Amino acid sequence: MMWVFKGSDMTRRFVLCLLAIVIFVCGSVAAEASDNPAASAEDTRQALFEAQVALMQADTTTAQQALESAQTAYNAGLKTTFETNAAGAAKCIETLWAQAKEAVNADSAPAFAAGRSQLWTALLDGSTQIVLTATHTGDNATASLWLPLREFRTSTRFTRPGADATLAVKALGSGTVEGSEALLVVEADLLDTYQGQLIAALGDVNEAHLNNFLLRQAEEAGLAAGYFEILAPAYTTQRGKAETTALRAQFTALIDTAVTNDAQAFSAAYSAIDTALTGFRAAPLSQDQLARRAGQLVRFSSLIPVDYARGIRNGVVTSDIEIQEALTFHAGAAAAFADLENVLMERDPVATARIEVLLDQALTQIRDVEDPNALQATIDEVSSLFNKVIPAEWLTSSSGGDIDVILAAFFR
Amino acid sequence: MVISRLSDIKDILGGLIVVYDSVSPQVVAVDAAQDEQIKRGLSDLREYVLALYAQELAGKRFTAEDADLYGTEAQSRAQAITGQIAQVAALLNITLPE
Repeated sequence: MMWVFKGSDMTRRFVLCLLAIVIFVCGSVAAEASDNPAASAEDTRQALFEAQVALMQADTTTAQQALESAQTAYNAGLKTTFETNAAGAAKCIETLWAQAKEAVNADSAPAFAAGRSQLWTALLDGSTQIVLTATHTGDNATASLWLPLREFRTSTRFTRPGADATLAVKALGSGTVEGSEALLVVEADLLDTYQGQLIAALGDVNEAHLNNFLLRQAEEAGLAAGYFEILAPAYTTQRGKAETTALRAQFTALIDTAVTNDAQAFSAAYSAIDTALTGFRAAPLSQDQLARRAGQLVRFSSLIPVDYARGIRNGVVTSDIEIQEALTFHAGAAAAFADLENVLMERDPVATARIEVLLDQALTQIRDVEDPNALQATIDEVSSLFNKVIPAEWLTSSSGGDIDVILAAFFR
Repeated sequence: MVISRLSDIKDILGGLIVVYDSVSPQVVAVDAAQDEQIKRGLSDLREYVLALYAQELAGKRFTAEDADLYGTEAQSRAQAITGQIAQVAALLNITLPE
C-alpha cells in the first residue's frame, strides 16, 4: 500500500499510529451557545455510558447519578441552541431523557441501551441541522463551531474518513465558495457518513442478535433508528411521507423487539427495514466516489477468504484474530456494496441481487466455520459478477488507478 | 480477547499522547478547538483503558458480552479520534491515500 504525505514526519507517524489503533481494537445561533458543542456532547455521551455500566452491575443509584450528569451536560452546553435551531431534535431529546429515567428506575439495562443510543444520535441530528442551516446562510462561524459534533465513517486499514465538509466550511470562511455550493458538499459528506453508519448499525444489530448479546442488540437498534432519523428528510423526499412513517414504525418495532428479545418479531422488523432501504441513497455519490467504493468492494472482498483461510485448520478456528479480520473485511465489502447497490440495480438487477445473496452467504460461511474453499468459491462468484456489472469507467477512474491491478490479482 | 490486550493498548496510547504533544502546535495553528478535542479524546481513551486494565488486574473476569460492550465503546472513541485527525490532516494538506 502506497502512502503519500506532505506533512512533517512526526505528524505522519502519529496518523499511522492512530490508524493502527483503530484497526486494533435556520439562521445564526444564539450568542449564549456552547463554545465547544462537541465537548458538551462527549460529556453527555460518556456519562450515559457510565450509567449503562452501572446498570449492568445492578447499581441503580450510580446509574441515576450518571444519568443526571449526562442531562446536566446537555442542558449546560447544548439545550438552548437546540431548542432555538433544531427544535425537532430538542423535543425528541426531552422525551428520551424521560424514557431513560424510566429505564433506570425499572433497572432495565437493554431499554437504557436503546435510549442511550437514541439520545446520542439525536445530538448528531441536532448538530447536523444546525450545520446545514448555517452553511446555507453562509454563517461560517456557526458551521465551524458545530461541525465537530459529528461521526465519521468507520476507518479501516484501507479507508480513511473524508474531510469534504471540513474543507468546504473552511472555504466558506475564506470566501472562496458561496453558501449554496458549500452546502452541497457538507450535506453530501454528512448524509453519506450517517448512511454508512446506519448500514453498519444494522449489520451489528443482526450480529448481536445471532450472538444473543441482548445489550448490544438494543444499543445497535437504537443507533440504527437514530441514524435513520438524520436521513429521514432525504428518505421522505425520495419515497414520500407515508413510506417514511411506515419505516419509522419498523425501526420502533426493531427497538422494542430488541429490548424484549422477541426473536420472531425482531426478524420481521429487520427484514422490513432491509427491504424499505433497498436502493435508497440519501446523497447520490459522484462518479469518482462510486469508483472509489467499487475499489473498496473489490479490495475487501478479495481479502475475506485470505484471512479466513489463515484462521482455519481442519474445520477448527485456530486464530480468532484472522477470523475477526475476515469479518471486518466482509463488513467493509458489504458497506461498499450498499453504497453502490442502487446504481448497480439499474444496470443489472439480477446480478446485483445475486451479489447481495452471495455476500450474505459468505458471512454465513464464516460464522459456520465452513471449508475455506467454499468461501473462496463464493467470493470468486462475487468478483465475477461484479466485474461484469460495473461500468468500465469505474475501472479507469478508481483512486490510484489500482483497481485493474486488484482485479487481476483477484483472478490469479 | 479484547481484555487480554489492554496492557498493549494502554502502552500504545501512552506513546500516541507523547507523539501528539509534538504535533499539537501545528494542529493549533489550523484548528485550536479540534486540537483540544483530540487531546481530550486521547486522554479519555487512555483513562478508560487504564480503568479496565485495573479491573482485570484486580481479578475481574469479563463475560463475552461485557467484553463486547467495553470493546465497542473503546472502538467508538478511537474512531472519533481518527476522524478528527483526518480533518486536521486535511487542513494541514496531509494526504492519506487509500
